[in-house]
Amino acid sequence: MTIKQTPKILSIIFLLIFAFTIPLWLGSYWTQTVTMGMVIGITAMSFILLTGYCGVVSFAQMSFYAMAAYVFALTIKDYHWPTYISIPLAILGAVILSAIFGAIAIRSKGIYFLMMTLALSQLFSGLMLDWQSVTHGYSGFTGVARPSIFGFSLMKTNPRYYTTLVALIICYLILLRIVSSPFGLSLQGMQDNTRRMKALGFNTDLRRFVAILISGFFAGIGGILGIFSSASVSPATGDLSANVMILMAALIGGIWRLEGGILGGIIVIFLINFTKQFTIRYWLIIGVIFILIMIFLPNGLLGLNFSKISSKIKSGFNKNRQRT
Amino acid sequence: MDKIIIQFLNGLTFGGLLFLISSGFTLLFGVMQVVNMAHGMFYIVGAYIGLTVQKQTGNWFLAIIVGSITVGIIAFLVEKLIRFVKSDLTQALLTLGIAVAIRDLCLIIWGGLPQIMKEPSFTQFPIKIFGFTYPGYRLFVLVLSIFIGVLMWFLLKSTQYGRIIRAGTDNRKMVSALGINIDRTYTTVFVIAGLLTGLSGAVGGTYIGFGPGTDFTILTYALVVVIMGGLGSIPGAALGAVIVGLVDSFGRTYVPQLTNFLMMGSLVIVLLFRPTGLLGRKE
Repeated sequence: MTIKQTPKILSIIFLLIFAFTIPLWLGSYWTQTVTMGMVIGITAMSFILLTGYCGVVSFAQMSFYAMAAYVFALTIKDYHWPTYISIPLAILGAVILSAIFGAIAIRSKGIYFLMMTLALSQLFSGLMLDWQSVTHGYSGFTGVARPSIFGFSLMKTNPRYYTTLVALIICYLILLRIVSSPFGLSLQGMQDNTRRMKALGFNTDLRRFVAILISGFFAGIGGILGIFSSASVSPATGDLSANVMILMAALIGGIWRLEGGILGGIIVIFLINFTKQFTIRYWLIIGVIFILIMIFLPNGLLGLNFSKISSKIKSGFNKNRQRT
Repeated sequence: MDKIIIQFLNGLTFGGLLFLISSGFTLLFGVMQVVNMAHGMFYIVGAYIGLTVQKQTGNWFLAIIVGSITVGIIAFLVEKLIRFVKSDLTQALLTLGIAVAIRDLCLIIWGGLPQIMKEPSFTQFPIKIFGFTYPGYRLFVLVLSIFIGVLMWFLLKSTQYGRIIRAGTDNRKMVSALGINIDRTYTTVFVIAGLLTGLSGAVGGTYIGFGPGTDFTILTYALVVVIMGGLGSIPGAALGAVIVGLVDSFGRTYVPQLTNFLMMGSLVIVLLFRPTGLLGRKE
């Protein structure tokens, strides 16, 4: 450990202490809010893996989330399977859905990818609405039983908070490892210049596809933690408003860094829950804030330029890349 | 057999409506490369304004016209707003923000109950085709959509203004250098797309019911239609609309729970053989 690194390590320790003591000084309502924020944070990180590192904007993250939640709810509530089977099954469901979406959307880039994933996720949400014999239609699943982990029942707010926090930290570390691995670097290389990466012998489509699978996996983990937290899932869980929430989380936090997703997720859920106390029509306010952020703060709080993404996709030979 | 023919007609007329809905979307994308996420919002505002005017005056034509013009004005404002951001992705996300805000505003103004507009009197008679009676309004929608499709095709292909618009699609700077105010042209295209979508909203609001959530459904239909038909292509939108209309109509009759699955399946099959859609240009 060098002297230069000390402040960084100290701030990480401080942040961890802060995160682990939140339930002590926040009430159960706001602890629950932070829990939900962290769940959205994990999903937003899976979004950022695709947006910031792969250069495609995916509108399907909440579909993967909803898929995991649906599989979990179905196996627990209708089939009464044990938790240790239904959790892997739920994540598998999310990965399979991401494989299907990825296989369809992989050939399109930029704005086309956005449209494709949006159409697919909306069709998925419609399927969940119409397929009443399995998904229970409009109301979906409510009151899904939460399991116990290491003897702590997730029915209570605090064990749920700590489970989510630990999961968040693990997901963050794994994702950090992935984006700094050779695989992650090759993704960033493809984002800058797909043609050159192809010429260097990389199978670019396959790598992008694997990235979509990984993002589906983490969105699935988000879905399971989400159903622990809210105990319900419905077609609205995966619809366009939900995807706008993920998008907004990533935009507020900063699209180029994984931490941006966590920060943005917590801020967005705080914002929604705060506005909810005053008016039931909170989307009006959220939407206006969203527009203002797009115009005046395109860099996000952790600060880099979002509009670079599309210019990067367009310009084939952009050499000067800036990343903090 | 009777059922099949009726469903075929239903699919065809619904396809006509879908073409009306997606023509504005595909026009905007083809000309300006803007993905208008507020498209469903345009539709539903057209329908709600139409409904209000119809309730006040009882005149269907007035309702259609006022609905269409209102959405045209909103489109004008949206175009001014998205000038603030540069890239196509941020523009798309900005329109999404606008859509999310205004859909909630609609919910405040018009409430959450599903609504439908009354049919105009001149279509309120059943028409006999092949020995079946079929509602006249649906056939009217089909005729109207064919008329508008042909009109758009003619305007884009054969008029000076259409040539400017098409030239602007390919090379904006060059058209601008030739002394044409391309910015004003783009504003005009945006307003035309708004007028068309408002019209489709009021016409569609008479055809199928609408309420909160319809905007996203309509956006999905428009997306599927133009992706299937080929982005930015008007004949492609027509073809896609007919296919989606037929899939929707037969799906809702025979496998009502899995219609969206069928839709996804047909989208996959089309993209498997034609990655840029049925009549799409190469990317």
